[in-house]
Amino acid sequence: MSNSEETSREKKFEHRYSAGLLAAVALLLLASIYYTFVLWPLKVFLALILALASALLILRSNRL
Amino acid sequence: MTLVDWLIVLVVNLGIVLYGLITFKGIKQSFDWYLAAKSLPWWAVGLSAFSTAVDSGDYVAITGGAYRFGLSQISQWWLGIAIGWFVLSCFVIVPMYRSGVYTNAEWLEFRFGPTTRIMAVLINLQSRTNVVGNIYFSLYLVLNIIGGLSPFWSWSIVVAIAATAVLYVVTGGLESDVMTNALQAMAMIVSSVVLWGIVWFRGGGWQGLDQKLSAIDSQLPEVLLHVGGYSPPGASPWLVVFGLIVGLTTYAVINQYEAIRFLGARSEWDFKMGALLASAITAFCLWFNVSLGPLARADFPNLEIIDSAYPLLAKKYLPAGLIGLVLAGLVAAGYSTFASIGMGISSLFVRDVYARFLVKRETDDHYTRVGKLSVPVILALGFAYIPFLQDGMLVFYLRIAGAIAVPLMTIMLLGIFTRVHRATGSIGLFTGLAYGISSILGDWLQWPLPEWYTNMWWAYLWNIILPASVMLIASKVITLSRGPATAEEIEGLVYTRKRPTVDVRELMGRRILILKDTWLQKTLLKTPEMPEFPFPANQNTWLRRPGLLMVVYLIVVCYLLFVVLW
Repeated sequence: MSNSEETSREKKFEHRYSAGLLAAVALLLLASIYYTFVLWPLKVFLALILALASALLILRSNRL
Repeated sequence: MTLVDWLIVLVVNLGIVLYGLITFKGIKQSFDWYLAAKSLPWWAVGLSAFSTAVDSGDYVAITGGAYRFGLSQISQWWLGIAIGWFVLSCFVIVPMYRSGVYTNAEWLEFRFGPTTRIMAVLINLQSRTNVVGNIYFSLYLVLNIIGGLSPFWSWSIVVAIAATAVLYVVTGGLESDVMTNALQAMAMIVSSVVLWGIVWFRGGGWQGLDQKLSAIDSQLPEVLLHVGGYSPPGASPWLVVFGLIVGLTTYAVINQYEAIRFLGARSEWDFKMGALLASAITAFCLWFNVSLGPLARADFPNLEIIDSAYPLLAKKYLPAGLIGLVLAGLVAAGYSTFASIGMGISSLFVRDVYARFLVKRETDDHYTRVGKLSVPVILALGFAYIPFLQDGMLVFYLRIAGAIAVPLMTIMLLGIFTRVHRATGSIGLFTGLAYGISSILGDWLQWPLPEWYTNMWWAYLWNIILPASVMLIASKVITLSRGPATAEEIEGLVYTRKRPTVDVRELMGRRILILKDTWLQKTLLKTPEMPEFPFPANQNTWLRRPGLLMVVYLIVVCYLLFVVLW
């Protein structure tokens, strides 16, 4: 495997790994609404931002 | 805290630890482990410098400090650390980077002799293990107060965090440290913004804060909500702000664990842009942490342990889910600094003590292995400080830093900017240390000395003036008897705008006879020469001049500090 292929594979992994982490935190934030409705719009807003960042990372990794 | 909160803390932090472990493993060459093969881009250097400088101790201690000192604290984070990073990246680090050294203490021996090298190691070791102690204590407070854990479990988790930070530094070296720092920086920023936003808006904003503080004491808004508001007996507000600024300028200039990520940059432009990015992010993030201090004072006016202000705010205002997000950022801040201190101090130990004085001619593998083994030992030393931190972490740190770290900065700056003689470094350093230590003892033991001698804020001023004056006078005397310092003595060691025409690596490799055929000499000679820019030299863009952007930053910040918020 050439150096550039290896770098691209590593980058893909890094992007997908980060996307997975962000998505997991977004889900956990939404799950926390089950405990209390206090500040639920803020939690939904933050979860949406995290989900968006996660989707962007997946898109970028597909282009590599 | 709920199960979901703990899961958020775990996912964010163990996720980043695993990333470091999986992505950067099996690094065996010392050049790769200590300097990331000089491959780091500007954004990684900047994010890493930020997350290294701001640790969980800063979240907790800075809020605790601002609870007492008010917004005067912001001057050090907006201006002090930025000046330090700019001076470091534009001047101090330049000859170090070009000459191929791995540590700033190494440069000190070439410039001022072995005594200054050893003293720099000891000062770095003292100040950084002090910081590790601060982080341990702050994480303990957070886990104990916010997490509701018993002291035993809180301390156990603190130890587990330090141990897992050791793992990814040992496997991946500087690159793993810097890249995980970049991810941790994101978690830290989110944590700061979320807590501040909720406390600020629920507390009624600036007006609500002003009213609450006035109800406690009519003088409090004046003291806490102005940069120039705090002035203890014997020190004017200007002196306090000067001391705070010098404190963090010193931090950025002398610390090897900051310097090492600049030395690992892929070009000179990358570490300058990294310094600018680090300053901007630090200013943004620390506004939130500092202004939480007065907000906490309004809510909890009679705290006995001021460092409990931050966790108490979090506990009072954050609902399930968000408390986990904030705690995740705090733990990430702890991880990032543990890793960076472990990495930075291990490079000092191996290059400046072990390979220099103890075992000089071993293999490259051997020195990398010793570096890896020293990381857990360095982090364990932080526990020695815990008994001294009960009166406020920041006060203890400021007292020690003004007395011990500032003289080191002074001699480094004179070494970079002037042609003072080699012998003057030790003279200046010991003069500053003698004053600093006597001023601390005079303060703690209440010796009959004048206020201007023992006051901690004055120490920041005297420890610049005293060592610098003594060095300049001593250098003049030596010049009168022996002539000025020769080019051979200082070529490649002082700052020059243009790159030296001689081969600096060759010069450095042969400069100290005792290093002949040692690992230190071989690695110095083998370090590749790095470019000024990571892009073609003829590419004409405004981004080529990071210095100009730094000047703009300084003007904006000075206006905000000394006009708007003063």
